[in-house]
Amino acid sequence: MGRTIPSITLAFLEEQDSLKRFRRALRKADQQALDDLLAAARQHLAPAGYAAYPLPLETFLLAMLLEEHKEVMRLRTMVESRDRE
Amino acid sequence: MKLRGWLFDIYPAGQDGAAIWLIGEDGKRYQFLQPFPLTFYAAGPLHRLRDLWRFLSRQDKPPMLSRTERRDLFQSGPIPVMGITVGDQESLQGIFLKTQSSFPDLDYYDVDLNLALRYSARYQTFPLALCDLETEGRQIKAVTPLETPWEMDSALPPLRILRLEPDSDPNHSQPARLEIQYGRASYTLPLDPARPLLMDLNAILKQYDPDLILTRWGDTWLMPHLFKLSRDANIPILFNRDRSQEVAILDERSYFSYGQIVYRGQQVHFFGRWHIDSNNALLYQDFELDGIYETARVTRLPVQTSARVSPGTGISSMQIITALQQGILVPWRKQQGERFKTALDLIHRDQGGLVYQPLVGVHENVAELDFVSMYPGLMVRFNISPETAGETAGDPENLAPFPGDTPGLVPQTLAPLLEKRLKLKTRIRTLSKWDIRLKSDQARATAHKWLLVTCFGYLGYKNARFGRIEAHEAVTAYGREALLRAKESAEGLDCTVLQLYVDGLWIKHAGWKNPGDFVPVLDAIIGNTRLPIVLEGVYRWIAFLPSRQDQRVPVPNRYFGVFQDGTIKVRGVEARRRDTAQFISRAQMEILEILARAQNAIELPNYLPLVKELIRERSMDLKAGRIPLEDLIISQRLGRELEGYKKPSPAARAAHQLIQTGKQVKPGQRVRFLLTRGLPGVHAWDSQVPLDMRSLNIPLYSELLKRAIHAILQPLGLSQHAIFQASLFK
Amino acid sequence: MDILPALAQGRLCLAVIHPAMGHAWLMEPMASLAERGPIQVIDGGNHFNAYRLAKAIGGHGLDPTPVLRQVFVSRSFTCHQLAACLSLVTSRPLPLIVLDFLATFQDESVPLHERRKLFNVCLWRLRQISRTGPILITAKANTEFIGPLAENCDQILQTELKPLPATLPLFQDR
Repeated sequence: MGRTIPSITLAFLEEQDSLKRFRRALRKADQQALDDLLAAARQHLAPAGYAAYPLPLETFLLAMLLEEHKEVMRLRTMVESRDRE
Repeated sequence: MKLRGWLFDIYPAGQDGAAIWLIGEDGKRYQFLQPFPLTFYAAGPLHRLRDLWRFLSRQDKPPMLSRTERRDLFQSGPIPVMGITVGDQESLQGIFLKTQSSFPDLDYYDVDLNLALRYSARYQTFPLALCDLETEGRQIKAVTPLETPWEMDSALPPLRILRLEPDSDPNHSQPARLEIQYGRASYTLPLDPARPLLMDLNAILKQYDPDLILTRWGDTWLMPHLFKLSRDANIPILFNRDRSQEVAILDERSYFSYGQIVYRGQQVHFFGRWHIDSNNALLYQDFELDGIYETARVTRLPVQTSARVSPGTGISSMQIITALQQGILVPWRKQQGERFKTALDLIHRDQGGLVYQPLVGVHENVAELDFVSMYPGLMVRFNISPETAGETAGDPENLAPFPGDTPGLVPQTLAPLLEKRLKLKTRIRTLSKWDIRLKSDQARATAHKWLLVTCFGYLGYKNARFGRIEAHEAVTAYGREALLRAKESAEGLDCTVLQLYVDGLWIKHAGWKNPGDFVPVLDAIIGNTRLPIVLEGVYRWIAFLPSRQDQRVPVPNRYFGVFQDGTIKVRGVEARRRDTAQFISRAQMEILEILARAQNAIELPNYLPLVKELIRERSMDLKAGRIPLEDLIISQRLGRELEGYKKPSPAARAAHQLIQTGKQVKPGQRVRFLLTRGLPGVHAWDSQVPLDMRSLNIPLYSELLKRAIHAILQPLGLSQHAIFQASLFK
Repeated sequence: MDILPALAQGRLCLAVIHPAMGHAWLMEPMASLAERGPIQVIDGGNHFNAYRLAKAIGGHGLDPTPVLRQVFVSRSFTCHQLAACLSLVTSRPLPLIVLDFLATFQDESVPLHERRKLFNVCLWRLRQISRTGPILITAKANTEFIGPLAENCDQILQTELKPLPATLPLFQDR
């Protein structure tokens, strides 16, 4: 009988598609940064699907923030270990 | 007379009821008849049932009518029904058509059931069951099975097998000879002239009297060809042991299944004897005859039918048996709809299994843990069934079973199958590779696997008699909870979870590399889920691959790795796809076999020179024309009728070429072709039109090869440029 | 297309849509209806996209969660199920939307006479339900039974043809 609610991947692609105009108007370097954020959000599609929020964009944005924070933590660790040397 | 033997065949025998064939313990083949009245039921408002009673009583040959109560699975208590009983299948069909067209408002049950299933439900028999029979002349008076389908080891009767095979693939070239093998005899005969061939076949059928005729292309080419020869020569071929019957020919068809178009070739069935076409028998490659016999035993479908039907039909038959044995009505038309739920509930429930995005890259000492038959296990363990899971969403977050005084229809049906599969799998692990039981055990376990894999999808199938979308959703909800608990159990023991996929997880832990190291995780998962989970193995190294289009994006089911015993496991890359040319699959596997020698991820780059050498050789082989054409064939399914293509796919273009040579191609069929330069870009392999070798599109094959190689080498840090540089592909 | 004014108790309203169209256009009116009170939706063609509906509700500045709790959905995958589903529809005066009503009647594995019989049963039931609440049916043009369906509806709305969105690219171009 099949699925009716779009899969979380499809829902993500729809949200990504809705950003087309915004992306187009960005400078090229900023477009690449946006693409990085979108790719980051894709790391966490399964939890987004499981969370089953009516507005999945909220979880995609949270996923982007999560990856950004991980990157900050990674850089912090790197800087701190360099400072110690 | 008392007789003991194996039940061989059962089918309708007109007014005689059922024809039953037995292979006696004495080695003789017996045919018996047994009156076997058939009953279907009508339900509805009492005044309408009274009208029906009057209508049926006035018929020329009025059926026997009764009033009783039976259970409809989708209603809370038993319902009053009218039983309409006749002596044979044809009469049932006739009276049902009249009844249904005059009383379309009533609900009907137990209408279109295979006679073999009805018989099995009544007497607990099944194909190849050892039984005691009491007979009087040609009539069976009593039948007592001496075993159940769930025995681990049952003796098979000594079957006589005749093998017939044309000397070439008739799709590709006209066969000239027929290869014949039976007992110790093995020879070939020309297909033309027909007369000596037909006489020889009849002689074998008479003297050797095979139980099974095993063919290749029997359904779709050989039998129709032999029938034509027989008609033209006016020499009947005595395929049926039961001469009162005509050979049954079922038409080919294409139909939708799970969003894909599937093609089923024509079928040729005998009476009193089996015909199995290994090319038209589903999953024959996976489990051969042992698997077919096992499928027939557990589904109770006749062997010829079992060999050809989908696992979905097999599961449906098992459910019907359970229903008939429990006095549950089998609906003629599936009507049960979905209960109204809120849109918010729909978002929560209409999800599939949990499919994570893996941590892309190469990892070492990774354990793969898999729940054993997870979905069927959930159905049995938590009593998920159409009649239990229809009213509430259950309590997946606490993994609490659906309430019920007795197990539901689906759990009851699956439980013995699951148990037998687990026992077989356990035994297989203990057998050495020379043990004669190994092949049969593996074949039977594979047959069970396909039935079990299908039962979940079947629960949600729109035409399944006992399907229910709520039950289907409940299974995924419980599955998601079980997998999350598994993740939590692993992380609770400081494992890194690399990937989760519906019923399996891949984990690693610093310092752990032996199977024994992961036992605490297994124990924790079993404790938290109460579901069986096993360690599939520990990988020396495994690579989870990113998307081809964007390497930052992980892809769930694309990986390859090597277990500690050297076995390679590959998913989602070209070597696993049916539409990849053999040459490319093989090249990819050869690269993997080289890399598999690495004992850990650090050693992998050491093998790159060997890999590069292999790539150079294969590339030169391709350019020099040393690759056999058969190894360049691409095989793709035709997804729709040819007219339905706006932009024809390569398969559609090849199908068009076949049609121009007079061949028929149906949606769902696979079309084989080679890639050529220019338009139309393909050459249909089976068109029998000679190929101009210069037209082969070597650059395109080279491109496909490069893509396949990149899929394997990219995780090792090699860029496309490094792989495709000119020196590698000279 | 503004369908809300067309909906009224006692009226069977049909929106004929181009076969290539989806139901995205219906999300705004459905959201507006659901914000006023409970509605029932029968999905005959596997079209119901709760995310799009939630977005439309969110676009009105409302929290989608309580509104979605007022939207009662049942999916029908065969014409038999559709007929059975209609018999379950509450007789309360709730708006009823039937998406792609004719989809399941296109299944040729069900004999034509049986599909015709079930179609008539469904029509009769829809008429009954329309006495207590407004009904909107959507159906694709040029499908089996569209003629008899249109003849039995009180108001017919034709949607303007809009091309479907281009196939979503999987990844952005670099």
